[in-house]
Amino acid sequence: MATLELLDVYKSYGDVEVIHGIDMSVDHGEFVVFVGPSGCGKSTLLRMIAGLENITGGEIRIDGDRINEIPAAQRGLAMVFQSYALYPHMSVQQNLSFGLENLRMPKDEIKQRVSRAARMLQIEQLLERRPGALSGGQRQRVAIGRAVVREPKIFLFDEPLSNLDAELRVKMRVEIASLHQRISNTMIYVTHDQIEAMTMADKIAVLNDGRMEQFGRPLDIYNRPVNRFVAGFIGSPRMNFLPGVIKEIQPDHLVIQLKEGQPVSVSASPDGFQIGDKVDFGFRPEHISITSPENGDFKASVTAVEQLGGESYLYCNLSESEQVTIHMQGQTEISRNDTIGIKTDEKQTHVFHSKTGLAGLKSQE
Amino acid sequence: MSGFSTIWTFLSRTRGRNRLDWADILSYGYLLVGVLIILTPVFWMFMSSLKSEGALLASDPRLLPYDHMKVELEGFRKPLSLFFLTKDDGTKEEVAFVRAKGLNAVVVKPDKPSEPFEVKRSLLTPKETVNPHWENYTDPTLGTSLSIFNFPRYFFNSVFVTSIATALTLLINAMAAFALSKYRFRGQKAAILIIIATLLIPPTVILVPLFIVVKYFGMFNSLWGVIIPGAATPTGVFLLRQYMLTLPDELLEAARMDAASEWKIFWRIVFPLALPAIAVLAILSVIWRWNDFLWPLIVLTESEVFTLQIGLSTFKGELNDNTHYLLAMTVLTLLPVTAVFAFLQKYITTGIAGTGMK
Repeated sequence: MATLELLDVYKSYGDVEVIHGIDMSVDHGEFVVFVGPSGCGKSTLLRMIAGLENITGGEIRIDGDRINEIPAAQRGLAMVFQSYALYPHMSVQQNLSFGLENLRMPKDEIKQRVSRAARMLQIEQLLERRPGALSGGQRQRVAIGRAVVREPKIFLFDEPLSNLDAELRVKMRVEIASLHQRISNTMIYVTHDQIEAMTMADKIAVLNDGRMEQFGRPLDIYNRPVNRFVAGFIGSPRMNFLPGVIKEIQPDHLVIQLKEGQPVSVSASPDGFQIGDKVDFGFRPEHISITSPENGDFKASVTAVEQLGGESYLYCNLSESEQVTIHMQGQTEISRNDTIGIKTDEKQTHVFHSKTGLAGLKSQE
Repeated sequence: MSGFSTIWTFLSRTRGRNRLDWADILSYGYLLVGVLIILTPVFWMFMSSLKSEGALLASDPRLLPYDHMKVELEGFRKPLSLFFLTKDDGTKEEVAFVRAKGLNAVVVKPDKPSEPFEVKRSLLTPKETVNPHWENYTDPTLGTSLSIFNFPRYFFNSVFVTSIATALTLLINAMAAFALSKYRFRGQKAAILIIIATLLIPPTVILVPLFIVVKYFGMFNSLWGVIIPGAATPTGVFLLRQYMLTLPDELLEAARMDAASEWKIFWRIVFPLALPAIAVLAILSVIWRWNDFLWPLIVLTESEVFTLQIGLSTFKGELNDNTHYLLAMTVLTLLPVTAVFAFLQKYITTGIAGTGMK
């Protein structure tokens, strides 16, 4: 059993504060993904948990015990690095057993654990090779194997798939997810790729600029982003935002007047909104329906069409240089320069304060 | 065969196309000059080391070891030197030199030793033969020479000093370089600067203070007195640090996550990965230590602890001039360093080529 708690954790390099107080609690066996744009501090946070960076303020607890002062070597965690960081002068076997030797484990047990991990990751035939003689995917497996043999309290992954090509990445993603189901350890996984985050995580922590913007289950984050940053970051293609003004407030929904077209409505709690507030109206590319120009909430002219066979993307301009992306299932008859009407559904639209970026909260359903 | 052909392919390499162009000719010419400048003195020393004591005293400039031929004749206690006598008609005749008599010489014909006669000394030219004096090598090494030169002892001392000092140098310098390249601490830059700044101090300036320190530590006339003062070298620290800076920090972090102690990280990860640079330093250290003369000369005064270089200096004394032994032993002294270089030099090239991490 291993739980992880972050209590008001700060980190600064000299005068520059890079992590501004993060609170988080991870239960045993949870797969938590830190996601955010590059430079948001997600890797730093992971390295602080690992013990590779010291903690300037706050407290990190594993199983309830404060570990701030415990060196990395004694925290009992294992980490998979972005560059794999395999020891180039050792064979795969030695790479896997190095950590266990350091723990003065009996030779028999080391052998058992190494061969068990090698079997699980299908690297048995590579045990005698050096890392230099392995392909990228094989190195990745060895790097994961090096963590697996340790049977650590918590697995830490630092962008482990970013050096692989697209096909291999999908494959390894599935493998890591199934590894988690098999050994059901607590895992912390850092990535900037939101697809990895959505597909693998039990819980996602969206980080931006050293702050945790939202922490929750993937679909909660997708369906109920707490602010404009999270809404724009999670989901691909990203959410469309159109500026507007609050026109009407109802107990369970808000009506927004965009710069043109019909008023649109968003089912969200009206807390914090007043009539006349400037807001951003948000809707995802996949959450609209296309109608004739007269029947839509607003009109748009198509500037580009991408047909992928199974799905299609439309890139549209509204009159005032605002752009909207639309994602449709299947193939479409619509072509460039057509004018279409766009209709939104109040259950699947979002509203954000222009100034603060905070969302109008959507009700749980 | 294949070995020979690879050597030939190596030697006949050209820039770009197959024909020699002017850049090839210039580079081969330059290399040739370099080889000649380096090898000529060594070659000359080797050839001279085979000459007789007499030929060396006479400063005989010829390359080959010529010996004045002698012959033992009845009625003479010592062997007589052979000369060619140029006769009036230009023909030459072999004679043996008995003694000088003014400008003339008393000689005998080898087949008629009982009939001496006088000739002008200017008409005599020595009869010579090529005869390499290998005894220049065997006498001191096998202990048959009259000199006190004890080759096996000195050789052992030199090997001891060189190997222990090199091992110590590598260990100490690598540890310092590890700390200076992989740890962040206050005064790190200053430490590096101070270490490098010691290069500016000429060794002769600290000779006397160093001697006093060594004496107080009781290492006078001990091989440790030679080994320890020079064990840490600024060049070595700098060289290894620069190399270790190129080792990715993630490897060290991975080892830390693998519960390795800092010593283990150094010994199992950093040291093996820095081997190319360490080999370079090993070569340098072996050469420095093997050829070191001044410091051992000061610390070592008893012949039991002499190194080869000090031993060589004993050949030349006030009353003796054993140039023939000196040259022969110098040639022997060169061989171990040459061998070490030949074995380790491939590490220099692999070090340059690099291995690549990802």
